[in-house]
Amino acid sequence: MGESLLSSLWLLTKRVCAGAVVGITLSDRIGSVATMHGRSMQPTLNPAEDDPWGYLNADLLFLEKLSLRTYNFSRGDVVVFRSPLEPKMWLVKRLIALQGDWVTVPGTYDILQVPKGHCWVEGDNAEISLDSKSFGPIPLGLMKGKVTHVVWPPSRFGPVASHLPEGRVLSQKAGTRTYP
Amino acid sequence: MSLGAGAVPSVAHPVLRGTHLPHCRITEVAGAAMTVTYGIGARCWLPALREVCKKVCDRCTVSSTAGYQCRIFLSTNSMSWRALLQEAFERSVVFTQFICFLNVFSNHVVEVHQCLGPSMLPTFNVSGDILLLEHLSSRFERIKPGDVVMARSPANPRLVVCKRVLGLEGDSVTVLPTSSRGHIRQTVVPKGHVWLQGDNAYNSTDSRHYGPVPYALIQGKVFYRIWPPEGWGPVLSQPTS
Repeated sequence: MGESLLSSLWLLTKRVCAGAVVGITLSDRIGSVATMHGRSMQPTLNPAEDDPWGYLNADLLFLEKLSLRTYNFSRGDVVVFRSPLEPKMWLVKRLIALQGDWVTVPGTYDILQVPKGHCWVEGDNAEISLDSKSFGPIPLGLMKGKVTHVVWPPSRFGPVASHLPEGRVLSQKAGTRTYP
Repeated sequence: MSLGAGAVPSVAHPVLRGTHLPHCRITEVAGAAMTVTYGIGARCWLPALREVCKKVCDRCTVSSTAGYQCRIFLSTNSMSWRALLQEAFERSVVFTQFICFLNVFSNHVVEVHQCLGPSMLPTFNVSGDILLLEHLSSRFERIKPGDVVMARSPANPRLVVCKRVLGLEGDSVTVLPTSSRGHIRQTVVPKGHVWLQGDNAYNSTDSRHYGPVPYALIQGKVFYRIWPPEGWGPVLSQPTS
C-alpha cells in the first residue's frame, strides 16, 4: 500500500510541476491576470478605491503579453511596466507619446521631445499619479504588458478602451507602430 | 487491488479475464482502455510490455507509457484508431510540456545568449561569443559593480546589449570621455538605476551616451562563456576603480 501511495504522490507531483510549467509559459508569453491597487488610473480603473472597502474591491486586470514580442504599443494604450525608480514595483499608466513625439509637461510650460526607444506615460488621475511628469520619459524595454480587460468584479467586466487625451501630444510621427 | 511485489495478478476485465500480466496491477478501467501500474518499481518499457500483452491476449495494444504506468487498449484490430489518437495526443502533451519547460528555464533560470560587437573587447571577441546568462541574481538584486550583465537597450527595446555594471544606485562613478576632447568626470547614479559601460571605452555605446539605465532593464548576469572553445570558462567580475 505504501508503494502505491508513494507512486500516486509522485504522479501528483509530476502533474503539478507540468501544470505550473505550462501555466508560467502562458503567463509569460500570452497573458496573465493581476490585481491593481491605487487610485492613479481613476476613473478608468479602480473607481471604488475611495470607499473603505475599496482596497478589497481592487480591479483584477488581464494583461496581454503578445505585444512584448515586438514592442508595438500605441498611444492611448493602458500599459504595465516596471518602475524606473523601484525595480520591484509594477505600475499601470496610460501611454501618451512614443519616440519622436513632442509632449507638453503638465504643470509647466515645457515642451519635450520623447527620446528614441522611450515613451511618455501618465495616469488618468493626473493629480495623484506618479508618472512621467516626475520621472520623465521611460524606456519601452520596461514594458511588461498591455491591460486589455477588467476581469473582476463581474459588474465591471469588459474591455479597457485605448484612448488618447486631447491636446497632449503636439506633433506625432505618422502611424502607431514604434518600430517598423 | 493491492498486491505484494512479484505477485502475478489475475486481470479482472471482461476481455482479459483469467489472463496474467506479470508484476502489474490494473489501476483504472475506462471503456476499452485500462491503465496498468507496475508494482515492483520497474519502469514500463514499451516493447517489453507489447511482448507481454501479445502473449496474454492478441486483441490488446499498448498505447503509451508514462513512468510506472501504461495504458492498454482492447480492440479487434491490432492497433485501433482510438489507440493511435490517444498516443498522438499523449505524445503532443509531453512535447508541449518539454517546450514549456525549456521556455521557463531560459526565461527564469539560465539562458544562452550571444554578445556581438566591439564594445566588450578585450573581455569578449567582436565576432559574437556565446555566453550563459543567469536571471536569478538580477531577480534577487544580487548584481554588484563589476559584473557583466545583459540589458535591454534604452534606445531600442528589441536590442539586448552586453555591458559591465560600474555603479549601482547612489554610487559615484568615474565616467571616461567618449571622444578625445572630452574630460573625465564624476557622476552619481540616481535611485533605481545602474551605470553600464563597455570594457572597450573607445568604441562602446553605453551609459555615457544614454545616461544611467533603470535597474529593471537588466536581463541577467553573464557568468560563463561557452564559445569560442579556447575562451571556455567563467566570466569574472572585475573590481571597478
